Amino acid sequence: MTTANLSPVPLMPDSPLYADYFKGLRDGRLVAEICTGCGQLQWPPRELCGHCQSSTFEPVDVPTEGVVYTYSVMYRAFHRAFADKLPYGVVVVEVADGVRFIGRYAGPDPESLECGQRMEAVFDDLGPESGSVAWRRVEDPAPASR
Amino acid sequence: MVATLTDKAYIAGVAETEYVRGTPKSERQLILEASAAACRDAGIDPSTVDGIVMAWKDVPTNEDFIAALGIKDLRFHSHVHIGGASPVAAVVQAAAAIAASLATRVLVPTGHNWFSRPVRLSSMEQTPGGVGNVPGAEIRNNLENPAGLLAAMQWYSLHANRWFHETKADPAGMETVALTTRRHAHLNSKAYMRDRELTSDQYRASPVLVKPFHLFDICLETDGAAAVLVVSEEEARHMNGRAVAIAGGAEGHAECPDDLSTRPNILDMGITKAASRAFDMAGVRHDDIDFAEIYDCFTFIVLRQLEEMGFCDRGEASDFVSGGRIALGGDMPVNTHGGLLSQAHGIGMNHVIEAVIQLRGEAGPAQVEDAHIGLVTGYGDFSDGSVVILHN
Repeated sequence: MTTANLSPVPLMPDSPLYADYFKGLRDGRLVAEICTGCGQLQWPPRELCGHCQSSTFEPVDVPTEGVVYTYSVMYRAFHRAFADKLPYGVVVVEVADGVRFIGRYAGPDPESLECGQRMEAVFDDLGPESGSVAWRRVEDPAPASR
Repeated sequence: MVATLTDKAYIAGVAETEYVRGTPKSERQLILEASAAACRDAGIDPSTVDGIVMAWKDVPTNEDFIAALGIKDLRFHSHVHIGGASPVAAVVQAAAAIAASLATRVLVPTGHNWFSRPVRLSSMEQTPGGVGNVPGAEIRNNLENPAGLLAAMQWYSLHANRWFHETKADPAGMETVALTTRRHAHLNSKAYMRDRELTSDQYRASPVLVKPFHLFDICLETDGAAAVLVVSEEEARHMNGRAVAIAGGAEGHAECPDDLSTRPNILDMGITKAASRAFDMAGVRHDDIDFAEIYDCFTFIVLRQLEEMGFCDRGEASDFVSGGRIALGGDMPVNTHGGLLSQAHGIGMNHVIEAVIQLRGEAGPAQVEDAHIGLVTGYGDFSDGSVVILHN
């Protein structure tokens, strides 16, 4: 996997617990984990299943559309990588009952973000196989280059 | 089983260093100095301390305390790691250790050089995992940081924005907390903002750093340390008569306590569980509380804690704080010292100390009339909560 220095995605780490997730992003899929012991969906990934304490999981695809559960809009950068992006949005998108993914907001007008807006995942907005997830509003016009 | 700590332990000494922006002293030195001063305030020789519950920090170690205070026989020590909820939880733990006869004179110290730390929480220089001491480092590193979420005020915004959406809460309550707290700071000679006025116009004109937080919704970054000495009932009887009794206390943890985004309900907090335990143990009701010192790293989290403790319903705290209710002279003054917002970021130990000073009747111009029962809260990390109820 790409290192933090080579990736166009800022601050992207390389963590074994998240290997399935990052592999999924590079393939244009959103991947959570499912416990092979009890079938419970687990997100974020952890070493043990909080329901049955099993430690074996398999990746499972989850929907790439959902609604904004909550969000933030930044007018100050807390890292240089975001200094030229102000104001920028971060959204927490619920893709299935109680399953939420946090990500960059990549659509227009972040200041109009609200809870409940429908979002779809954008996988390659930082370049082909950049391996990150961002979100755009379903209602916004699709960007010219996708 | 009715487990109770009521009146088994007393806060007999309190002390805090100066709160400053910039200090040549290490956190360790400041915390040790505050600890020695808390012993002096109680009128005891620091070498006779026999217990330490260190709130939040790993340093000073128990060895550091033994060396600096000349402690002859340390019988009990522990560290509490729930961020800003640690000081109040540590006071409760000290009371429990005393009730269990593990120790009789327990120091509860903390401190942090928020301003002089290498990277301030308000700066652009955050590093992945660099906030330090927060749980869920892998969640932060893998999911949040690449999205541009790196600093405390961003986490709190996720909670605040959902709260506004779900409850249609009135944001005016945030301004009420900011302005009321600042006015209280003007009465406190130890408050960093004692001389700096904050008007409604200034509040509203201040920049929004992260929606929905204006600059003045966010607490100060200062350097300093604070400590209290908790002692047994028998010890308190032989002291200077200023000891304040611990009526009840508790800590609580939200579901999914290392992540706000995936918590089933982001409005559920540790204090949601802790408050009723503390009230039940103390045997008091909301109406009995004469004043409250509420952890205020952000204005909105004061409102949220009032709601989760049951002072009002969810979404109603802006109404609750209106009309001067939380100002000195009101029904339930809140943060009579200026809080983290306008006194200093004492990690909430300054809240414990202020409650003790109020119950001693030593608060001078900020004294709450007929103050007999005070409530103190802590909030830390991703919604850990703690409550202690004190009385004189």
